[in-house]
Amino acid sequence: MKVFITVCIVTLTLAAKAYAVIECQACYSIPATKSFAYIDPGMGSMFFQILIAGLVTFGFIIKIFWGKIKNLVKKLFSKGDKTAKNED
Amino acid sequence: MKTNGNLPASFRDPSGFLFYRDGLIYRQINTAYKENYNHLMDSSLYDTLVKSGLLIPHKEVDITPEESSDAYKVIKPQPIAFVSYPYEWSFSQLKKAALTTLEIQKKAFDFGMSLKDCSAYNIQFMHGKPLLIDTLSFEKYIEGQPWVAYRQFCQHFLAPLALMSYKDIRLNQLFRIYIDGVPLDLATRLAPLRTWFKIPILMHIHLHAKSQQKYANKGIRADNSRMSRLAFAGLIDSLETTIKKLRWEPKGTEWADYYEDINYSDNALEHKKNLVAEFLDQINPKSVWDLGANDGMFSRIASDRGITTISFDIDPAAVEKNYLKCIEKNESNLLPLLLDLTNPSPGIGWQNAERMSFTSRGPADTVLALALIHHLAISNNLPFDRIADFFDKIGNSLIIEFVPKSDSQIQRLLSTREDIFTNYNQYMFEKAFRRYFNLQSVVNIHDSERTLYLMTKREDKS
Repeated sequence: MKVFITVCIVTLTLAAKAYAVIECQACYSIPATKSFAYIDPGMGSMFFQILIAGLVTFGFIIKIFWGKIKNLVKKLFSKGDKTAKNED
Repeated sequence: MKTNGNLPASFRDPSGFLFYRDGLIYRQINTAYKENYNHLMDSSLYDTLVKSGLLIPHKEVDITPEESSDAYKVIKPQPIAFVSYPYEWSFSQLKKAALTTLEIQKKAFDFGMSLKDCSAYNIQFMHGKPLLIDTLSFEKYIEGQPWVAYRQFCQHFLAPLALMSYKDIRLNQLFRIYIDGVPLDLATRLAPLRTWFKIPILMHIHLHAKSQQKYANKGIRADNSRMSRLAFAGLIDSLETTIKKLRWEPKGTEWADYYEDINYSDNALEHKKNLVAEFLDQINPKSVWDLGANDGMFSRIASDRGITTISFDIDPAAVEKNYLKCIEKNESNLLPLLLDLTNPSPGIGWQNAERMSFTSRGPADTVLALALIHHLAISNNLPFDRIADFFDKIGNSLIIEFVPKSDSQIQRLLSTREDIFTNYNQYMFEKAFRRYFNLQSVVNIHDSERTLYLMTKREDKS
C-alpha cells in the first residue's frame, strides 16, 4: 500500500511538473535532429518526450523492479517446494 | 490497376519508393538509405522480424531501377492479398496493429535501430496477422535522440483507440478526414472528462497536445539535453501498457446479435449454407468479397476452402466479433473489414490516390451478397439496375440472395415508412441483373420465400 501511495505521489508530482513546465515555457531544448526522419516529428512532441522522460523512466524502473521481486519470490517458493518434495 | 510506374502513395520518404513493373510491385532503395538498409540486413534485425512475422519478407532483385540516378538496390516485397486501411479496421485490429508497431520498435532497439515513422498505413494484415510493410522504416538509433515517430504513433494509434474506447467506436472514421491520424488537440477536445484522470492518457494525449500547441512553429535549439536509452525504452513501454489497457466490448450495435434474431429456420439456414458451398465449388474462385457479412458465418464457407476472403460489414461490433473469431481459430484466409456499402471507402490523400477506393481494389473473383439486396434497394432507395451495375464493377461472379417484399425483414423496414417500391419484385430484379450477368443457377431456399442465385459476368453486355 505504501509503495502504491509513493508511486501515485511521484507520478502526480511529475505530471504536475510537466504541466507547469509546458505552461511557463521553461527553457528546455532538444538535440538537433540528425536522423533520416522524413516526417515532422513536431517540436512540441520532441520536447514533451524529454519533459516526461523522468516519469516514464521512473515507471519503467518500477516495472522492472517489480518483475524481479516477483521472480525472486517465485524462485524461493519453487525451491521450498522442491526441498519439501525431496524430503518426502 | 496500374501495371507500370510509381505507386501514388509512395512519395514521402526520400529513402526509396514503390513502383509497378509489368504488374508486379518492387521497392527501389535510394543511395541515401544505403547505410540504414545494410544495418537492417547485416544486424540480423531483418531476419528476426521476418521470422517473428512482424516484417514483410523481400528478395533483392537484379532489375533496372525505376530512377537509376538515386538507386542503391531494388527489392521485391511479398505481395499483399488485399490492402486495407485503419478506417476499415475494427477496434482490436487497430489495437493489434499498434502493439505490433511497438513490438517492432522494441526489437529494432535491441539491434541499434529505431522506427523513423509510425504510420498505421504501414501495417497490413497478411494471413490474418498484422505486419509492417515498409522495409525502409528503420534508422540507426542515435544515442540521446527522442523518438521521432512519437507524435505519429499517438495520432495514428493511441488517440483513435482511446476515442473508440472511451467515447464512441465510430470515431475511427476520423482517419478518413485526417490522413496523418487524429490531431491530438481534436482528440483532447473529444475525449470525455474521465480520461483526464487516467495518467497515461493525460500524459500521452492531453498534456502532449498542450505541448504541441505551445511549441508549434518554434525552432529547435541544439544543446546537451538528451533522452536517455532507458527513458526511450520507458516511453515505448508506457505506450504499450496504455494501449494494452484500452478495451471495447462489441455489443449493443445494430447487427451485433443478428443471427440470434433472424427469421430463418434451422433447415433454411443449413440449405442456404449448402447452396453457397455448392456454388463456390462450381466456380472455384481465388478471391471472395462477402458484403454485409455480419460475423462471417458465410465468409467462412469460402475461407475454409482456402479462398482469400474479405468479410465486409457496416457494423463495428459485427466486424470486431468476426475478427476475434479469426484470432481464436487462427484463421489465415479471412480478413473482416468495416465498410458502409452505401458510402464505401473513397480514394483519399494527395490527388485522391494515396489510399485506394473500395472499388479500385477489385474486382473480386466472386462477390457474396446474402440478405443484402433489400438493405440497398429499400433502406437506401437504390434501383435494381444501379445495384447490378455496382456488382458488375466489383465482381466477376456473384452469389446473391433475393428477399421478397413479403419477408418479415422487409416488412420491418417498411413499418416506419411509405412503400414507394413498386418495382421491388423478383421479375424486375432478374431483369436488371440479366443485363450484366448470366443467371447460372436459381434455387429457392427451403422453408423460406427467398431465392439464391449464382451469376457470372456477361462478356456481351448490351
